[in-house]
Amino acid sequence: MLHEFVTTRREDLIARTRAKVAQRSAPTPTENELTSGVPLFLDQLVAVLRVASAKTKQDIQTSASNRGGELLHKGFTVAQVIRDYGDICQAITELATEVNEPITPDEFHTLNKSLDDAMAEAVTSFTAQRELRIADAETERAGAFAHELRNRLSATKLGFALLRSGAAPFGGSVAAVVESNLERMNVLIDRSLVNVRVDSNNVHNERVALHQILEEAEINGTLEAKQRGVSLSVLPVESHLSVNVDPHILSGALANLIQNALKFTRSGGHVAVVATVKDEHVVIDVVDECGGLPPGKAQELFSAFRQHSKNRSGLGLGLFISRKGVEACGGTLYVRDVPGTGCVFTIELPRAANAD
Amino acid sequence: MANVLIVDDDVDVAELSKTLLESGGHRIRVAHTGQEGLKSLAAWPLPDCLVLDVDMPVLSGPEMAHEMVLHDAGEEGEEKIPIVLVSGRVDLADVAARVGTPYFISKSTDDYGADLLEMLERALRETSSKRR
Repeated sequence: MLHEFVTTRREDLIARTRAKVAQRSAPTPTENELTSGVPLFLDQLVAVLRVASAKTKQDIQTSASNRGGELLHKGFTVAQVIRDYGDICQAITELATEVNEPITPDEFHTLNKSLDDAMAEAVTSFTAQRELRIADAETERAGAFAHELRNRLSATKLGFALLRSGAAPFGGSVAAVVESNLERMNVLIDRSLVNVRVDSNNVHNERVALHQILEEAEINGTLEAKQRGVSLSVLPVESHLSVNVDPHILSGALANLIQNALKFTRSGGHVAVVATVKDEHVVIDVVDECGGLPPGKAQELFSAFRQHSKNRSGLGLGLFISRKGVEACGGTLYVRDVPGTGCVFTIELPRAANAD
Repeated sequence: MANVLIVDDDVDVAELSKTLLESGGHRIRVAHTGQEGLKSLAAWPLPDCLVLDVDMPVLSGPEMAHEMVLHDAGEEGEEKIPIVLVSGRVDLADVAARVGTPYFISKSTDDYGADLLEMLERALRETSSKRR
């Protein structure tokens, strides 16, 4: 019986399989896979083969499938499960040939069927887990959005009540707080709509003159710059310079970068938006004076729910959504740290061919 | 007139609440985390009442209230400093029960400002009558 052969030769098979796994280039073998994974996979295979020797085809499939899914829950990746099962299968057939252990056609069929079913279940489980993670992330994002919107609405209502009762004068600090919260709600909703459009592939790229995007960004950023005591300069570009983008999405992403730059630059500092041409690309740099980033933090900035502000205002979703938006426009968004000075956020987009 | 400490990480809500309670004739101090709130308690004469947000970084409202119990920072004479718990959370009543305060208001009520003033007055009144 095959399961008896595998049980008797367990240590030899483990050593052979480990050697195969260790030689693999991708996915990169892990210590956990070599020490725990290989014996675990082999023992599970023995259990399936034992079931197969006594039970029906359906029992075999159920047993193998359950084990394929179980391996994922133990932290092995779907690629590891598939490759390791393949290596075990090879090790068994090679050893059986070397020692003249006959494997009957039925046993060989069962061995392959067990592996196929386990692999199929691993893939199915992986897909289900991934969909669950995506759904969880969406729920978390929607919840965070509603929470932040409610906070801003609460502040606005409280401020409005103070103004209405005469406890605070129109034109004073309370009115400024109300105005700022209204604007933040506006930004939240705009950003959320951009996110929905990007996620639903509702992106309409068209030829747009870059100077229009920059001028709009300057108009929108100037008020906030004034409120924060930061100077903002947007350098002009040649009027014929164009990009193929969704103008609403790119404008939203650029507005968010400028808003962040203004937020993190100290009062009295300067934020510059500079667009240049590099080969076939248009490069838009948003240069701030935030003081620079802690080491290793540059990539973290683009993760969802990263809060970078001391007063924790905002959702921590802005850069995450901005990057998605720029990528939907066919571009890239990245950051360069200038230690002790600030950050340069760069949008790089393919330049549109000159119109004839 | 009472001395009130507002602890809220939302800078805007904290400042607006300060303006509101000052218009009601109270003296207000503001902190933006539970930790800042504890420092404020230690550094100043104890307030007559605390307006405490629930979700805050570093040290949350319930954690700050727990620390106050541990360090007797909330004791003044025989009665603890009353805590008015504020939040937009739907489980605010449960959180308030765990903190041990009967005073709590949802930030999403229609008239949060009036409700806050009323709840503060009630907390001050009831604590004062217990002390007598």
